[in-house]
Amino acid sequence: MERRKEHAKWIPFDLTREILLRLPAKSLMRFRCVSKLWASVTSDQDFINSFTTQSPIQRSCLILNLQKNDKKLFFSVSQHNNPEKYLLTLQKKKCYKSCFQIQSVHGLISFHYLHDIVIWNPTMRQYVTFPKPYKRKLTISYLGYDTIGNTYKLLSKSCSRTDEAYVLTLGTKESSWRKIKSIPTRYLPCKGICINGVLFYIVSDGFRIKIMSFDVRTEKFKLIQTHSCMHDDLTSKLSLVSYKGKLAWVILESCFYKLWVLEDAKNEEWSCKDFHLPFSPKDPIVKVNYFLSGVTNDGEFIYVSVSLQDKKIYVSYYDPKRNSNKRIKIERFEDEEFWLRNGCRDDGEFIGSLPNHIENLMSLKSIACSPSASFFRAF
Amino acid sequence: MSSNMIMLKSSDGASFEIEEAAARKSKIIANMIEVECVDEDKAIPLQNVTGNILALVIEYCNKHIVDDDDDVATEEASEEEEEAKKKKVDDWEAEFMNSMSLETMFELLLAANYLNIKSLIDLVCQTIANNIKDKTPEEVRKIFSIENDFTPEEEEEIRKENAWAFG
Repeated sequence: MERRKEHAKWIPFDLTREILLRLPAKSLMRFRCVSKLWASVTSDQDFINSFTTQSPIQRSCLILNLQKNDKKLFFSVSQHNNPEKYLLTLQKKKCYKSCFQIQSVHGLISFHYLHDIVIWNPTMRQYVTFPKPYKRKLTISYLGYDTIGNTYKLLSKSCSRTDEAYVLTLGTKESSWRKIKSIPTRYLPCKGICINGVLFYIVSDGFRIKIMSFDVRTEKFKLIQTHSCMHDDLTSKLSLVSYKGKLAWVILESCFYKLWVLEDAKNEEWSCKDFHLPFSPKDPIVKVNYFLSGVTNDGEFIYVSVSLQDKKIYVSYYDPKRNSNKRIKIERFEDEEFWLRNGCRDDGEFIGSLPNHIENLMSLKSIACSPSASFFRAF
Repeated sequence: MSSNMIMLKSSDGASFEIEEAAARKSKIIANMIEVECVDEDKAIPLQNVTGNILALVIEYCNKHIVDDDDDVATEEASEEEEEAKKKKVDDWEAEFMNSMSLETMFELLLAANYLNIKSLIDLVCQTIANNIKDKTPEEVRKIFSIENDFTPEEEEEIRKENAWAFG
């Protein structure tokens, strides 16, 4: 019966690895001090790649972003895992509250902060910053991920010099901006989105609104024509989501969402789908402050509604196939102690949401970092 | 559906009768059947699996063979039925694993690995992961019989680096 006590002694290591791959990132980081073998295996590039690609549906979550003075709080909402909180403290008080510039791409979050672009891996509680290529011009930046080369690239453009763009590849060697040629267009405030190695964002060529696509691997731009019907109602906010692995342009009608799906990027073919809201726009809980955050990999529509009166955030997962709706209530005051402990007297302002965020074990430590990184404190 | 029955014999001599279709969930047994090294009246000896664990493996295979058959037979089944069926299997799996000790889970994992039943390996690995995710490194070392080969200084450094994960 001695053997029974040491039940795992004969577990081959490939099975132990399979178990480790199914743990949440937080447990894995804690278990790095179990043994040298565990530490080295969980830091291995193969393991890190498998971790992000394995069961992405289970691991993906919605990140909500709150801000209070110099503090940015991100917390994850998931149907599968425990909620996680990530807090990033910015040193300078002034911070743009633009949600257009915040992106979650393959586990990394990017946003502008003063003269820098911050790349943050909340899973690992690590960040790096890069100075913007244009110091004085209004700049827009997007983060892209090349699925084939497994590399991240930043694309930065000036709103005034639109015939050029700068690209920076995140890597172990010192990262620097490279100038590339771009198609001259006018910038329209809209979150960029990266789907299967292609970045999309909305632009105007002076006459019509179009979609700009940027192939992260080849660094080639392409303008995609939009359907003429898509211009009927441009009063609503411009927003792009990923729908079943394709780009979709979202238009909010009175009680439903119209989704223009880019079926074929090469031939610029669009299809149109209507999706009814899973709740009445007059629902006292959601009131008017609701928006479509995105679509999960399972095809569920994520609606976020911010109730200003009772200071709560509601997240609804609506499955149009089954016509089922799950609503999660998030009390911003729920963890008052957390805010107080971190120097916030009351709750933060809701900034935005990042759907389908995944955990990524990638370390940002080896990536060349700019000196201004000391402006931040993250945990 | 095949109604052929085959016999499996555990390392401690217990014999189990199982439908061939269910036994085929194991790639190893399926292979043996393919190359016809299974005598109709002879039991397949499984030297690495004890009777109590083999009983669990058979319970799992029996449950899942029905589902696989249904997939083929009722192509017209509506999505709702599919959903309901999937939920039923998920519930069954949760119940099946729920009553098990960590020790049994590890033995079942070894058996699933030896018999090459991918879906059972996935299920057990996930259950073990859920079981240990909130444990301390010390507890995990004990469970996996791992000796700590870090010096106290090295361990301290790693702990410091990932201090947030201990909160």
